[in-house]
Amino acid sequence: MVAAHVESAQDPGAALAAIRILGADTFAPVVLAGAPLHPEDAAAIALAFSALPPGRDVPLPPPAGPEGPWLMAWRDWGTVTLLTVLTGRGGARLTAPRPALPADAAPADDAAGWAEWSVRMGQLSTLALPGLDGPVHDAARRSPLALARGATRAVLRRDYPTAARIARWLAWLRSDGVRLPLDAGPLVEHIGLLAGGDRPALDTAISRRLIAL
Amino acid sequence: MLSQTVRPREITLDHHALTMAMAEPEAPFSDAPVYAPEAAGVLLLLALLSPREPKEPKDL
Amino acid sequence: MAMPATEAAHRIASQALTWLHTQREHGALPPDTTAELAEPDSVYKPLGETALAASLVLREGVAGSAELRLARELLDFCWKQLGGGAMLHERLLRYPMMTDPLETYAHFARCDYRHEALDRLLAHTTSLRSARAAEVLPNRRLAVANAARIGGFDQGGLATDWAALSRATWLGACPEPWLIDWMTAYCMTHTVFHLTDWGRLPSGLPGDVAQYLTRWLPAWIDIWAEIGEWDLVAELLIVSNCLAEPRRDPVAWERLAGIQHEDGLMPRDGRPVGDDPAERFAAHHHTTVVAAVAGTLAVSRALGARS
Repeated sequence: MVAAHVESAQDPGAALAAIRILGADTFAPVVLAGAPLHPEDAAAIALAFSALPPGRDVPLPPPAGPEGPWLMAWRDWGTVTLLTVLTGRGGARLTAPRPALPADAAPADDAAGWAEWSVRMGQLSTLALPGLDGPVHDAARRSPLALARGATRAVLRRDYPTAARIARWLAWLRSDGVRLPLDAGPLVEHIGLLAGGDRPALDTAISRRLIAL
Repeated sequence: MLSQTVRPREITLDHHALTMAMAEPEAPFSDAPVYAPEAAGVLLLLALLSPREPKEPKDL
Repeated sequence: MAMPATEAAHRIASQALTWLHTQREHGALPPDTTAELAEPDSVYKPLGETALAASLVLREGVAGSAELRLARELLDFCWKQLGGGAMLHERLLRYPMMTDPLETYAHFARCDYRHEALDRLLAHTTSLRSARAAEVLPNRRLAVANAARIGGFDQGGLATDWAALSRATWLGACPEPWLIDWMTAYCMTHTVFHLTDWGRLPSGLPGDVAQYLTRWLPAWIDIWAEIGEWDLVAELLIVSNCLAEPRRDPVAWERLAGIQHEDGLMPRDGRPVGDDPAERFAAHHHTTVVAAVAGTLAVSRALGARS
């Protein structure tokens, strides 16, 4: 599917960059809708990684290090981990080291910083997929209220792309059996209807599937 | 086959651009709800419910 | 260095009260005012709101003696403007279905200012089915019910079904917190004010409503503070202090303290504030009242004035 896109693209580099950015979500149809994994798609991912391999040294978490490289490292880790899960040991020999989390990994229910934290989690929403788990997911499990507040805040600010990403964590938590302080279904539908653009549409589609699990 | 179409060494990905595209910060400015009388519906409701001002009585 | 929330709240309340006292003549009724009150919102309403603030300062009793004196003088001033209650009585005689005489009177009755003829008339009007069944928004129905409660007009057969009135409100439904607009936010804050009699009875909030507010107040305070809706933010802070377990919200208090004017005026929003005193009063009196109430209740709850 994505392989065909790269092959037919005028600018294969841009197509591969898009795949790198899409990351683990490239496999959303596989892990959420039972679509088969095509070896060529796995190869496309591998190609996107070989063109710019993740560094061996893991970027420091903010505020110790800049946000950009740390986010990219987490996303790459998600992509590579999911690819490995899906293809097994015989798959692409890609590696992406797992970064650390900041010290304030999850705000307690009434702690300050829930807004910034929820936005940060939204930036890592591509990790909210079946087949991935780890410290980020544990942070989500510990703070459903902070995520719910973050999604509420984003919707009211009319920042629908951010809302779609944070709501995705709520959908993931629901699929993980965590009790939520609000109903994720109507929230996801609301964002999906009011948001424009492909990225929120994709996040919404994934959220719907997660809720249905 | 993809590997026949595109050779790894032909592709260079811009690290900076990639990092920026992956960052996805929140919207810098809020569009939160403010007073919007046009959205209240109260005025319309009053217009529908209230009778019009009585006209001057016609000559009998 | 960040000011602790309680200190900020105290400063805000004290300065707001001072401003209300200094500027009180702007709230005086024009000399030829009759009970008809052609412009009730711009003249009569501010008097009632000032009385609200002053009466709550006296009720809570956590202010210093100088501030208590200011509050007492303010309440006396407002009562005198209303003819010691005579104007409210006249207004109710002329418009027996209007609720503002009762709602305004309540702030004086709270501090034992009574008008005998008004008491008799209110005892009658509040007992009539027509008055009770008049079509009003649910939070307004609660306003009237609380005013009747304060004045003692809800005895015996006139007892209020608080649970039913509460369920009829937006807040009572504990709805999706992400679908709220500006007007609904004010309906919600006023629902809390009246259910708890301005923080006197935190138990007036049903348990599910209290939990709901605890969950979502931080999000609402955040978004409206971000765009400088200070009036609404201050009302949300009152709500915080109407809960059985009051919230602290130090960041919000600090922001309000930062934008309050030297003379104690609290701006309604982020737009420029004029220099003309009459204009300042007209535009920002309400918000300064809200700030005085918010700060007073915050200090009171911080001191553990009630469980």
